[in-house]
Amino acid sequence: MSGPLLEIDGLCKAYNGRPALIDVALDLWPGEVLAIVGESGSGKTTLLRCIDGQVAPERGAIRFDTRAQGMVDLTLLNEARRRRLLGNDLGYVHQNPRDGLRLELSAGANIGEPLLQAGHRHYGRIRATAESWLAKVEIDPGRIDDLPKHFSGGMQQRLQIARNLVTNPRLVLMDEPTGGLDVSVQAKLLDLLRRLAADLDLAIILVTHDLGVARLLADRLMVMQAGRIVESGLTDQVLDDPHQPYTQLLVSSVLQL
Amino acid sequence: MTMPSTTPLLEAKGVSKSFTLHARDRLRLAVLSEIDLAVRPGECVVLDGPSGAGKSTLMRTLYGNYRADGGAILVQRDGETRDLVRATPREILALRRDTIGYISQFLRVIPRVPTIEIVAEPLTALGIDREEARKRAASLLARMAIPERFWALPPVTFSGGEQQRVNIARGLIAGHPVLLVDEPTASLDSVNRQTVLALLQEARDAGAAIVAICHDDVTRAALATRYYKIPLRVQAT
Repeated sequence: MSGPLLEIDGLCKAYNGRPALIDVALDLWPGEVLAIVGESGSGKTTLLRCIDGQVAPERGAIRFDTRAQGMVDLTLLNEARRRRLLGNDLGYVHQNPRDGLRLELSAGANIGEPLLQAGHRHYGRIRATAESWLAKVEIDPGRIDDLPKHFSGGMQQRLQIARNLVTNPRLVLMDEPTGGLDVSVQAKLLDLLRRLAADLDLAIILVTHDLGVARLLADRLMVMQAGRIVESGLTDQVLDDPHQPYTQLLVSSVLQL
Repeated sequence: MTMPSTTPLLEAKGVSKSFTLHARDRLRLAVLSEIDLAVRPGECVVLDGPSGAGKSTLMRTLYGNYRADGGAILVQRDGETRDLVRATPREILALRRDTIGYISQFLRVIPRVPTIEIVAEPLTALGIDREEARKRAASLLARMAIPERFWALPPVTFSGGEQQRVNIARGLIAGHPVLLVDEPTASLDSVNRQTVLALLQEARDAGAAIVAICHDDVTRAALATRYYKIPLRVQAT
């Protein structure tokens, strides 16, 4: 644990001249959970996509501490080099599990496929790993050969998380991972994420509009509005002592339970 | 009682805190100004002052939950002095893990997590083995008179007094040298109040520096080594 895992500065991105990210900077250390909150269109998802390489920023640096070669500015890499240097260091959990799963493959194959891509060849061992990951995300390992479309939304989301974590990433980006789920299923997923992050020393960037989720899961919180970071700090500081007008509005708009 | 001459474990110097309410025409509320408070090992300072004087605000500021406007909050950690007002989020998290404990009035936890895990968590966060952490959590819960059949259940369905005892167990288990305690006995019956009081006295006598808010006279008298009256604020214009 020598330094930050991720350092972003001066990140800018516009869509058709409309700014989506304006001079965004952040750093993240191994094992830290950072939540990004803000209304739709504030740039949260664009930021995740820039880190994930789905979207190319116009300016700025995204430095990531790769296992292969240490700190690398991801914005300077072409797709092939990016894939080689990043390996399995980075995961992405989509809001809709159907975007992150292979629906025509069984649950076991969904977990095994990233291992195959990483060069694992021993079928029995891959299957055993898939079984143990199903158990870790609280899916009955007896359903290893079922297709994900026969799973509930909550189970699909847990399967997507297993598919992401099986290759032992250092950072996982999550876009509203509890978004489409019932409240009771959300709680189960939050508990699971919290335990996995602690056990695996995993860093997470979590985009959410749910301040309750952010409070329970995140060490640090960043508030975005119209492409800018307007406030950031420890999660409980930002939520209990918000300084910026927009953050105060956001916090005061939440129903107290 | 003689004044201990050791270095304070926690020291507020000239701490001020105000809130600006943007939705109310940037109304500025000054709550704390020029707070000086030093707490040494083995001391328990009970905060005094009427409701609204800023007792809870001071506690939360000392924990880094509220961000002080000015001054310094010096905390001893590993023989070094850290200033909470200038510390980065990572440094504050580290201080909270092993140095400053805060026992709030209410338990706030992830739904569905079993009580014993909630109590053991501050120990596992320090790198203590999960089995050992659970063992120590079990013995503390037993001392708190939380029936063993409840340990595997999440505390949401517990009574107010049971939740408060779980909260106190979680707050005390890691043996933080600095403890901030907000109304520890508010919803407890006299037997449980005695238990909590004894635990806090043990922590104090073992050398913890404690700051407490407490309205119950029996607990105040038994716990306090001195009182600190929050000074009247200078309202800025």
